Amino acid sequence: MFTFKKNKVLIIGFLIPALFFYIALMLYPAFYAIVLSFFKWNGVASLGAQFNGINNYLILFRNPVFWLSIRNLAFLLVVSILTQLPVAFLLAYLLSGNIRGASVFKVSFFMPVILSATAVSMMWKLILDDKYGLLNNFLKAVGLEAMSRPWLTDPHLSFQVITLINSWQHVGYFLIILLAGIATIPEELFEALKIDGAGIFTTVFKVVIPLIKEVIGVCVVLIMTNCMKTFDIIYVMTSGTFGPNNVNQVPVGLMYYRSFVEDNFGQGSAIATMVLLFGVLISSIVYIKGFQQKSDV
Amino acid sequence: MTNDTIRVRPKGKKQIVKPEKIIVYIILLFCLIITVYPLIFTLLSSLKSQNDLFSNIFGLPKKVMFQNYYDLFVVKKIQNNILHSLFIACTTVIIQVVICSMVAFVLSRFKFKFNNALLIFFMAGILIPQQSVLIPITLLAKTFNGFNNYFFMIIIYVAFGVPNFVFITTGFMKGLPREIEEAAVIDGCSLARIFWSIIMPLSTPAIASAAILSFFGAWNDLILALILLKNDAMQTISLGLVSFTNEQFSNYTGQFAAVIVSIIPTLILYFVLQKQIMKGMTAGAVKG
Repeated sequence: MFTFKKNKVLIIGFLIPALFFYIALMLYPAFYAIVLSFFKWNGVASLGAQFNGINNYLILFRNPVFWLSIRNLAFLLVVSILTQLPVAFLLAYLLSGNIRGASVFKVSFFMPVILSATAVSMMWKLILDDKYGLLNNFLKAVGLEAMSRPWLTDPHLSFQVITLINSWQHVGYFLIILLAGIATIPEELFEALKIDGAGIFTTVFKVVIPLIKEVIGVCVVLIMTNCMKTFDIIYVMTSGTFGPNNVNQVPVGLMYYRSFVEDNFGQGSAIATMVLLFGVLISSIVYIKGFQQKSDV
Repeated sequence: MTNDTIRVRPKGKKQIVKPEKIIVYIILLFCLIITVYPLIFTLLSSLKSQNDLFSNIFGLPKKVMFQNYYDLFVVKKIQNNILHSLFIACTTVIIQVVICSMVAFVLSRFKFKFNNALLIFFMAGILIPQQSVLIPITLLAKTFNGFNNYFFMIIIYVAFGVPNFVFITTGFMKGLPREIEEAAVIDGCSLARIFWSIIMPLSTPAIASAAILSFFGAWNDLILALILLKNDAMQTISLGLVSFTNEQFSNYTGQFAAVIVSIIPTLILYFVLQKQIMKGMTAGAVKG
């Protein structure tokens, strides 16, 4: 192990470039966004910003669209966790055993993760098209025409559909992480459990899950931070409108709209700040309370 | 169905497939179809004419036609978008590889007071949503002429990728044995050489994985490009895809082709490098 004193110059030299990028272009803007949320500004430099106190926040809290976007985000968070985590775990557990062609499955399941949200959205938009889409035509073909719907334009359905597509894209990511976690459990443990006569439910719920608790915790935090950032998929699927009547709006979408369409940078920053703080808070709470292994030191 | 069915390898020469195991394969195949079929459908549809698509939605193309691809490459010149994205993504990754490995080297192989604090400092960035800092970045762009400027976009992508890249590479480098450097030091190797000629080559798996993830992050981005690139001649592939959809909203087969074109580079890179990708992801999450 090298020490600091002798190699000060090198250490500092090696750290500075990345630190510069990180601080100047991520931390400083994050801080700036928080400050800007207390101002009223339309983004044109010459017109200057007026201090506005917490007005931006108050205006937001009084706006029903804001609360709609929060409800959507909550729905997205809950449903994403409830769909992605169990499915990923199930598939990971099945694939962790003796499966022929396991790598084919792994590569295929992970594939949607690396696709751009834009491509995924467009693909599903075409598949879910009301008249010419694959899904409705399939339902017609098997005699279930009654079940066909205008999936993306029905205000009662569209956000749910978008949530499911979001889950479709990301399940593979958590599958791979959970698979790696399960792989750390020694095979002898499973054999011992078999000898002791433990059934599958006991094995999974009483042994496997507690053993990979931290990995599951990481997954939950990652799912949540991904949800906070979800923008591309909604933007493209609703062609930039965020749904008939804002029905598909989410906080970051509203932030985009306020800042770049309505030129209201102050309010946009207020939303941005809330998203930032909420994300940090929720992630920390969930991880520490729910999943931290108590380490014996 | 017991746990055996899933986990235990059948011993002996006669491998009897338990009937319950078929259920496992059925579940896996069902999920496989749900995952892969949309892409296959997209590909097949892109090779059909509109009439073929409407009358024969499920089947193979009655007559394979490449008109859509012709339109994309010759008329829309989508290859330009691809080249732009390629330039941005590659430059981003190269810069990140250099500056983040340097950080990882220092944080993993050196012992000093702020070592752990600095690592956490970098990793905290993972929690910052890109969207939350978009407004200040727009303001920076206004001040520093960042609009329609690939270099500005690149440095933003670099900055956003730093936390994740540092996380993955530091974790990996921490796992390298100490003896390597000790031997090198005894031989009179300078620190810079140890970094460049020993640690870096050994860390290739982690660096490759992090680089690939960064590449996809920059390649797939939409919102930053949407805000910063107003010039039609400078569009990235994501923007090209969106604008093509808006222009050609009734041309279903054309849109399918656009999707395929935009994901082909990604898929090629993915299939060539998928082992590395998965290794990198798990390295961070499981050890972290």
